[in-house]
Amino acid sequence: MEKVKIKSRIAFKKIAKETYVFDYYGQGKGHKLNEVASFIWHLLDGSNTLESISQKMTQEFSVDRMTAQSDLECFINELKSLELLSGNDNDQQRQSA
Amino acid sequence: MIMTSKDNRPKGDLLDQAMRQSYQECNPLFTTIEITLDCNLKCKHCYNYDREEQNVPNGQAMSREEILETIAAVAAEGALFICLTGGEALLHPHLEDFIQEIIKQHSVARLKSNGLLLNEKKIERLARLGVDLIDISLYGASEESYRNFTGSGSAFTRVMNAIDACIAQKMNISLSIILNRSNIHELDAMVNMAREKGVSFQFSDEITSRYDGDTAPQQLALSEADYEQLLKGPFSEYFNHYNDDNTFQCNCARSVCGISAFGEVYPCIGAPLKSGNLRNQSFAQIWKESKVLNDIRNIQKEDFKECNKCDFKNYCNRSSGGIYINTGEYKGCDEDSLMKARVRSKVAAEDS
Repeated sequence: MEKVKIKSRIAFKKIAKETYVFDYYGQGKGHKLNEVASFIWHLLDGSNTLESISQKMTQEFSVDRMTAQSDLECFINELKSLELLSGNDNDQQRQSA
Repeated sequence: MIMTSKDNRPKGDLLDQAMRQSYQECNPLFTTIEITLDCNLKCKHCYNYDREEQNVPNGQAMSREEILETIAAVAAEGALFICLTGGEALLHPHLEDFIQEIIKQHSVARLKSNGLLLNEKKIERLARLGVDLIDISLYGASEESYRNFTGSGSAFTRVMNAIDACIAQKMNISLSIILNRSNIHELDAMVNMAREKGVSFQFSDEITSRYDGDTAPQQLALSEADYEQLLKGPFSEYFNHYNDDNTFQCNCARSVCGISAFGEVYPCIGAPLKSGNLRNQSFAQIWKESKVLNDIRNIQKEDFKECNKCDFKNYCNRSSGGIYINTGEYKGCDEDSLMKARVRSKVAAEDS
């Protein structure tokens, strides 16, 4: 079961239902996550499997399992492309530099 | 799309949105923690206490563990930017632990410093730990000015060396130019220096009483003639302020919070209204339930009674914290704020 974790040096805070993410130490970009993305983001602490996250999404929001899995996969791929998750090759290179 | 927006400039539009939302939701986005009262300078305007007299405030400063707990607590409540200040923050023996904790809590670490202790090795270390920004106070453009204002004979050279070292190592810095009667003649030199080095800067022209009530620093505040000269000078854009919508409230107790070296929670580090002590209550409890903080949040425009009837309100840039320190009235007015608004109004009338 794949577990996903946010990089250690990403700054983020939840304000109301949204989460502001600032990648000051990486690509230098900022992102604003909506309610669903925020919900997922705060579960990406390395302790949850993607399976369990999609299950929690169905409990929290009015979505079926398939939709939750699809949205989650899409979001995770987006986070990977933005190098916000730990375990990326670039992350490992940067941390060992 | 789950991610609603992206911004290549984290310090731009997205941060503005976070600030606006924090104001509305009372989220302490910018939290400043005073980690020590110790300092290696004796600045005449210091709001902590008169360092020539050594009237050190009573109380036990927060321990390393208490500061670490405080960082975790404010981060959990939404403090994205945690600024460590003093005294001189770089004097604290456990500063690096605090920076590491800020990063661990997924917040952004910032320092406020006089710059004296910044050398190549220290800057490299701070950068490696993840310090995002060091805000260096600038007290003049000559050794003589520094000597007169800070009591140190070699401080200016050391600060210039520190700035150069930060630039060389690509450490993000900004300069806070502390304008007062004793250094205003060096304004051009300070600005030119910052521009030549390509360093961002801002002015601070607010000199208040000390937090212990000592009014002596106010003698250093800019005079009316000084201020008029500023408004007619090449940097007038930094000092002009138009308050056409008559906004008198600031970010205190909403998107801004301050914590003293003794664990007192303030609505802002520049507004020392005791709102609760972290030794008696949790930060979350104080932030959400403090009567002092909630009273400030509930202030309405009409509560600024003096401001509403003031002839110069359209030019007012009041700092409620500064006014509170000088007068004891958070919603009142003080001579300095009134003078500046009056001079802005006068100069604007002359220009029109």
